[in-house]
Amino acid sequence: MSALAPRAWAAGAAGAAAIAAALTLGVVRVAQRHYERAFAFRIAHTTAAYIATVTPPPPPPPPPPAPPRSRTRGRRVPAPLPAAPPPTSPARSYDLPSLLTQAHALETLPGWSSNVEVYSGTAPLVAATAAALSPDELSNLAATGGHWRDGTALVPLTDRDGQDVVGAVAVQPRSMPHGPLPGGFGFSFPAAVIAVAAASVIAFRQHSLRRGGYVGAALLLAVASYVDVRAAARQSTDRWLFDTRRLLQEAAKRLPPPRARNPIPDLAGIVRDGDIVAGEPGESAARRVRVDGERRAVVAVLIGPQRWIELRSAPAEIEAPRWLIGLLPAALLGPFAIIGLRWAERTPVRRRRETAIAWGFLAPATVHLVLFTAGPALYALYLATLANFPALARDPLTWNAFLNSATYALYVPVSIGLALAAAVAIHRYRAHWSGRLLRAAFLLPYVASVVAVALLWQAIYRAGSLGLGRADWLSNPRTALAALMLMSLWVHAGGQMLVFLAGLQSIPQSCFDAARVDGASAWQTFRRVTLPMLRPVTWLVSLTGVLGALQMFTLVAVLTQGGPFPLHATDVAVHRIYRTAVGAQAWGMTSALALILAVILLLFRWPQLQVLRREARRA
Amino acid sequence: MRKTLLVGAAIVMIAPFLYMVSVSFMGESELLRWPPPLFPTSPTTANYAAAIAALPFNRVLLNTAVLAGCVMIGQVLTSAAAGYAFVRLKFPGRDGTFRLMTLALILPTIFLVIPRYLMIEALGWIDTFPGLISTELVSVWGILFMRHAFLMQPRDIEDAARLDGAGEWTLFWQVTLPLARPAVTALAVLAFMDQWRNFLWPLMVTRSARMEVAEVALARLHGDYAANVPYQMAAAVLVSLPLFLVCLIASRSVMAGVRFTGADARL
Repeated sequence: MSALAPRAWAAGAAGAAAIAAALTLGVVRVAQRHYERAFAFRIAHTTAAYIATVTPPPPPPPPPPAPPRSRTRGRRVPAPLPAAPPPTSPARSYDLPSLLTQAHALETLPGWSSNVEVYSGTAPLVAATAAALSPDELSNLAATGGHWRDGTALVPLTDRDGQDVVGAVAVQPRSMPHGPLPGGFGFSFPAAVIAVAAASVIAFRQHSLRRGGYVGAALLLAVASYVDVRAAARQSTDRWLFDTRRLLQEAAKRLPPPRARNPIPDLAGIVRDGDIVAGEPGESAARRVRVDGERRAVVAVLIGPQRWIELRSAPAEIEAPRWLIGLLPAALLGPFAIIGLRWAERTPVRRRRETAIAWGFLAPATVHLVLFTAGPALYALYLATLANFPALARDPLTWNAFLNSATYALYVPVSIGLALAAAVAIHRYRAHWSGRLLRAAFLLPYVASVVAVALLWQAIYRAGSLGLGRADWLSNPRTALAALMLMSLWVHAGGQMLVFLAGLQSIPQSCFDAARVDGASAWQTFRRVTLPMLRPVTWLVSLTGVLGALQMFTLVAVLTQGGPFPLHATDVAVHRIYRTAVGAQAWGMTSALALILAVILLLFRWPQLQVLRREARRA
Repeated sequence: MRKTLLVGAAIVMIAPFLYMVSVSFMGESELLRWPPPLFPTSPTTANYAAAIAALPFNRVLLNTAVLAGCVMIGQVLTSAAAGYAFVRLKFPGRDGTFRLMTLALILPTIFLVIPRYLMIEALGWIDTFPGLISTELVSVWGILFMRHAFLMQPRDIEDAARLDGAGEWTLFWQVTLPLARPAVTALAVLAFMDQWRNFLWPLMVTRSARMEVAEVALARLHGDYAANVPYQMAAAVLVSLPLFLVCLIASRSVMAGVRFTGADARL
């Protein structure tokens, strides 16, 4: 091997690895900030609810000298004067001295991981000399429900009824170490260093990609960065649990005696996005448990002598895998870039040019397929979590839908028989006008508008049932599916006939001639010559026909919507999926259902593609 | 005798369409008689005027034409370019890429519709032409079709042009594509008709009457005028007419396309 490394290539490879590592670390940083913000907003909302629960209303005011202001309701902006009392009715607002006390108590709360500021109207209460909010900001809060400003989550503080915005709560999370390593680093930083080092070794020493271990290092980087992101997600939940525990303990102390006897309803009002249940003595650490089959993060909270409750929340790390969508491509960018660079280095210019041109031609289709097919498919797989399948299996409508689809597909053999007979007839009289007429007649339903066909057949069924004085076929649960099958038979025979016709035309005339010389009858020729020669075509048409039948949607959507009800007599698989999506917007359920259908279809799609490939090779 | 049988079968197949046309000229009350009349006693074109207004036909025609036209151009260009690269150029990853693209065929439409819808919604493209069109612009069937067509095509002429110093871009536009005109036409016609009859995707991504395409508008009209069958039939004739016209003009192309996919169609 030559001692001289092509410097440009080596520098490019090392640079690509460095960029990939930096990108990965960037994604990790974005994820960490995302979770820190999520925590800040969450604890700010909880704090606002805490203040609303523990602060008493002001004492009844002395009779005012001037006629009182009329009550204002709805989302009113408080007066822009900083210290002015908000224009709400007295019983719903807060006693200002107590509010001041509560706000200061928050700041000195032991074990809290954030700095907090409470605003009454626009005036800060904890650090009285701090800058006041602008009136615009306060009115914006009412509309948006909270926003982020200079490392601080600002959320509205509503009055006791939750009607008007009377102030704000700002929470600035103190920065916490993001990883277990010295300096607060996570695993991703050393992994990134290792990956870049490994890439440089490969690049400058001319090792092969396999020997250098860079692919392994890049995968390590992906795994390490995911571990960090997951830790950040977990930390955001745990931080909220711990800080909320402090708030709950304070709240339990400050509740007036009659409410303190059964504090759980009051405390549950503070924690709107979590659950509070009576609990048992437990450790101070947060745990992950399963409650009714769902993962929950829980801590035990001691709210009085021998009185324990349990605080539960959905753990944020459940959602963490979605960051892999960014992490994996970023980490694997390096190896791909190096493979490409190495290939380019060793390839003659002509081939390199041809490759570039080829990918230029392929780019539109490839980019589109990645964006609008591969991406969505992966997303659908992610949506269809395993937890959805037991629920689907328990739902009788699921079974009914797949059974209906299977029954519906039974029209396919009939339409194929019809198509084959028509194709043979048309082939024999292909020179005569009657043969062409039959071909056109078969093709017409196949190319017609599907909804038009649906309306047409409904009109026919209606006209047929009118005089009989009973419900037409489509409204009768026993016959509705059969009525749809008859329509599909009429529509699809034409397309299948065309494929058979092409198959017949590709049979060499000599085969028929030989049969005739041997004295075979027409039936014998059909059985012994035509049918065997058409076998691949028959396979193709059958598989395609079943695939189409199992995906039928339009006829049901237009004519029956899955009815007649309550039997769901024509509720086929795709329609059930559509209903789940549009009706309940249960995307996970929908994707799980679609995944089941996709697997069933694969049983037919795979052989179909094999037949197509074989046919293409033979041609 | 046998030819009479053929003609008889043809009439049976066409009869429902004849009935559709016939009913579209009837008055609303005529269908309530028994036995149901096959022909209008006093033909009227009022149903057509009403259906044109109720669809509304111009808007629907325009929307559907934009959808089908854009998708047709997009699918033909991307499929032809990809097919050309797969057949005429040598490059690393060619067979692997082709196999991966074929693999995309195993994903049924309904499986992709939901995540695509969420994606279009996140992009803010619901109820717009980009949302309606963007997902349909590339078809794997189209790529397979064009690849097959280029494989069947002799490369002598191209090689001669290549020796004369023509670049790949020139070759593609001026030699290969004109030579493959039947296949290009077939794909264009197939894509056009497929989109004209597209129902599920437009149903998902369009909301307003302003964005309705043919099939969706027809289905809505069916709901709005459930009892008035002659209206529905007139609208059905109007919506089907462009399809029949295309089929009449380009029957050869339609048949070529149908044969290639083994009559794979959406219903």
